[in-house]
Amino acid sequence: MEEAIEKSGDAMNPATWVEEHGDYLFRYALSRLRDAESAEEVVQEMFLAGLRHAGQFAGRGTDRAWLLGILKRKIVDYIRKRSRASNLSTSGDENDPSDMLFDQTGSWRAEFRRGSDRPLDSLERKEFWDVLRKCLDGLTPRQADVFTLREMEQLTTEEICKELEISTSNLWVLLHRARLRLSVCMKSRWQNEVE
Amino acid sequence: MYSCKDVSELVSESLEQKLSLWQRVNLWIHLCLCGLCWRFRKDLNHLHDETRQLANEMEHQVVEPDAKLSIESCERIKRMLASQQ
Repeated sequence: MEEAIEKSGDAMNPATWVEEHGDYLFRYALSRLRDAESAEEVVQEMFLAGLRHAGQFAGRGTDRAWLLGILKRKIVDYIRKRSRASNLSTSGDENDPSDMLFDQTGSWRAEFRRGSDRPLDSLERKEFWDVLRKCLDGLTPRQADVFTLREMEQLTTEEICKELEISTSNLWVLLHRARLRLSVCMKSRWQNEVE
Repeated sequence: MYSCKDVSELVSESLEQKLSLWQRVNLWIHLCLCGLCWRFRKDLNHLHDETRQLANEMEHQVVEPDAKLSIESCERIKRMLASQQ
């Protein structure tokens, strides 16, 4: 109750939250979770949590920044839950792209020796994001989720291992597979769209 | 001597932690001799840097600029918020 009274002078205005920040926060969630249904679910949870904890809002910064902080936490929670749910049957991630890329001696296979490939850094920024989004869908959900937590949410290795209950070496394998697959997918997809 | 496959793993690992001196020296020897791995390293570094930069720019709405919360969701959330206040 005290918190509520303390709060009453601040500018926080839940009545206009959805109108003013809904789309912005939804886009953020969509960029991390990849499907609209999950993003809507998380945004809804965030607004409700925001309202419940409005008393803790210190009055510094904006409503939007405060809600974004809650959203980031909710996104990690969501990924943790879906990662656990999908991981009950399989202990590891069997989707290793190495065999597709390297021969028995560990050298690049002939199809990846084409000299005509353009480097990834010649993609325009907007193209880069569009192609990345499409190629993330080609990974296993687990690979895509660890890549998102590491490179977009920029959690530390320790934080991700703790959230997903996996070992450091397991995380590195997942990240490496995600990167291998993404780099190949992004180049070929982009190549195909240009040609 | 590292294979290209070993090198791809080390390049990825180097984004997570500093490699040992031994690993770095051998990695560089391989990279200097192998154009494919050199390019792979460049691509992976770019993937790492660009994804992070774009993710940070979310605050300026560079990505997903057209996505919107559905009208039904908006109404549902508004009702929920109103009922909790």
